[in-house]
Amino acid sequence: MSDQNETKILLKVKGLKKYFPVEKGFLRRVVGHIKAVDGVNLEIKEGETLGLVGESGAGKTTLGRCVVRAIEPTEGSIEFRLGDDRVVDLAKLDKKSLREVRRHANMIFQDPFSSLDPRWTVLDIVGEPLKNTKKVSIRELEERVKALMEVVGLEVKHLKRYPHAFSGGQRQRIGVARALATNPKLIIADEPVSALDVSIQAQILNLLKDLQDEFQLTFLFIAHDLSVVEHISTRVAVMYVGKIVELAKTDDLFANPKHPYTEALLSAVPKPDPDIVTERIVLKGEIPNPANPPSGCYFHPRCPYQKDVCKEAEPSWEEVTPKHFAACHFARELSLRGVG
Amino acid sequence: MESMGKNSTQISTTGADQSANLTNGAIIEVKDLRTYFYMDEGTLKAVDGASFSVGQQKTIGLIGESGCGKSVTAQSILRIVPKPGRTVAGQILFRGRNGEVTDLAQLDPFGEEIRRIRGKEISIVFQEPMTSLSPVHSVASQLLEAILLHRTEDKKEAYDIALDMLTRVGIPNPTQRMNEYPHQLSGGMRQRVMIAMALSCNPILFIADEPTTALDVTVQAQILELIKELQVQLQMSVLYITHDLGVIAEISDEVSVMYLGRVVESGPVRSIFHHPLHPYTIRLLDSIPKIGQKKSRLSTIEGTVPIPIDLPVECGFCYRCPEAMEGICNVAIPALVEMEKNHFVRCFLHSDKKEVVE
Repeated sequence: MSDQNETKILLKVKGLKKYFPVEKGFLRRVVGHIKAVDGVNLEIKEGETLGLVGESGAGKTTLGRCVVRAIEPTEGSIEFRLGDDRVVDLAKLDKKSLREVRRHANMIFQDPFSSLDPRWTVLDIVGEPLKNTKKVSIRELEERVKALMEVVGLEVKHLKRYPHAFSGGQRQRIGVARALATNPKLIIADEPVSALDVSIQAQILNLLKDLQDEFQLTFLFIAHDLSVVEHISTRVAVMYVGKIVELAKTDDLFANPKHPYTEALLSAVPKPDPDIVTERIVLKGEIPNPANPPSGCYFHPRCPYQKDVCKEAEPSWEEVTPKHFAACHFARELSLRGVG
Repeated sequence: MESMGKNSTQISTTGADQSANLTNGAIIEVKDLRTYFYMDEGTLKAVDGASFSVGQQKTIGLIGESGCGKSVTAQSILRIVPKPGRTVAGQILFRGRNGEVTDLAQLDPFGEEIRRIRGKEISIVFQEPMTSLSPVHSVASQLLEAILLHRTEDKKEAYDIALDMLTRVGIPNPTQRMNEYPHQLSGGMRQRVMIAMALSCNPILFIADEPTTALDVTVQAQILELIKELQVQLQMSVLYITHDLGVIAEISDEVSVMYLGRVVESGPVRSIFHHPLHPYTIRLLDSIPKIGQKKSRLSTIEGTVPIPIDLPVECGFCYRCPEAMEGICNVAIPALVEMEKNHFVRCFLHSDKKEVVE
């Protein structure tokens, strides 16, 4: 981890697992586990945006929350590089030191209506992370919050307003200001624009890009809208039933997908051009229950290219072309259709 | 839009205007619809002069940001506008299956006639499949309700129709699903049940109010294919409401863009996407990231949709429009003018014709 390259690795997730127990009966016997995140390995480089896509129920949110330990992971390590190049394993930290480290990684949530306390003013909401991480005077706090409001494009005179007085887009800006409050290095944005109107969505996406340039932020950007992910990400990871099935540079992944699931996802996106008639791969059925996933490759019951081996053996994670990883038995043989 | 169509159809005596006149081929024509909400703060003009028509077996897409009056338009057609809202002006001419033309806007929202049309001739699917299904009734009882009301009184026959409908919308294991409750179904399955319910009486107009917004792209793809397929099978027209421009490009024949309760641009889907005329449409199309075409920055529309209470007489978009002309756009409402064949726009940049305001 001590390479002197300009792109250092900020976050390294190894073998991360989160199993939720399924309990049954009066004695709450554990009868099984929901494998929400099942052995994920990821690296996020400093200053990049890693997009995380997949259907609902794939475990994207659980993974995002495990990374900052908002949910306790069952297994695995989360190495995080601090400002002084110290690397800590977030998964092993005790409560006190976790609190110390947490100001370097913050979250932005999906729903700008339910993620802000209606009884708190903007000052309270944006100021809270500051108060939690270090002692500040009220004066300093106000100054800092005002500066943050300016950064995200809110009017400073609205400092003492409550969330209900703001529109959806403005509320999401409050959420962004809160995430920026402690000068974090990593921001986990969990579907930050999916609850917003198209025109507002563009404003927030542009804001996130500007902030990234200004403060050298690193994003883990979770979304199900592939066109948004393509727009904002440097690299993209595709998740299916708790596992990452493909990871590559954005252009590479969209133009030359190596996993049939990625191909199907890409073909399902409606293109905003009436002249493009896409031959769509309509996936049959739905994402399997993570408490009882299929054998072999989890995707095989829905895969149009499945063969016998897919039912039996789990595919390994391989580098198919340089820096393009996929977990599919036939990743090298299939020629799959991308977009663009 | 009001080109003279041949008045070959009979005019029903119930609730029909003597001058009721449907443009050739259209099955529903909305003319200058106004639905207002009377509130303590003032009159909220949710729909303020919307006009469009849907041709036989055609799909028309209604797009716009939230708060532009898309859903209230759909509710007005079915006369299910919630209180304190009321349709105060305009015509909704609808040609029923028997060829009679009725002005839905004249019907009593609680009357017999509209109840005969609702669910049978025109049906609707809402955005949230979770909240539009009853959690305490089984799939079967919810499906059977409409069928028993409109199609047959024989329970056995109704059950068979319901089962057939569930099979057609692609629900695996329909016999078992009939006895289940909505919480046992996934989001995509629930939306399929909603569609099965809406289509069980073979409507001739199907209103889809953001039916796939809450769903994953893969499930959305399945639902879109399903709607297209059933449209051909059942020979119905579709009014598709959404703010997802990708879906609109794919599914519709014609598009109407709504802003502040008015249609600001309408036309065939190709002209709208390839040569949009209204500044709002242009910016709306520019603000979405397009898959396969990477841009470093998205263009945005500054500001938000204003709340339509006591708005002055002006083009509603003028404060957000970079091309707004002082003294022109903020003193009168532009009229909807045909610029190219079937391509209408409401903007002073293209025509100086004003809307007459009484």
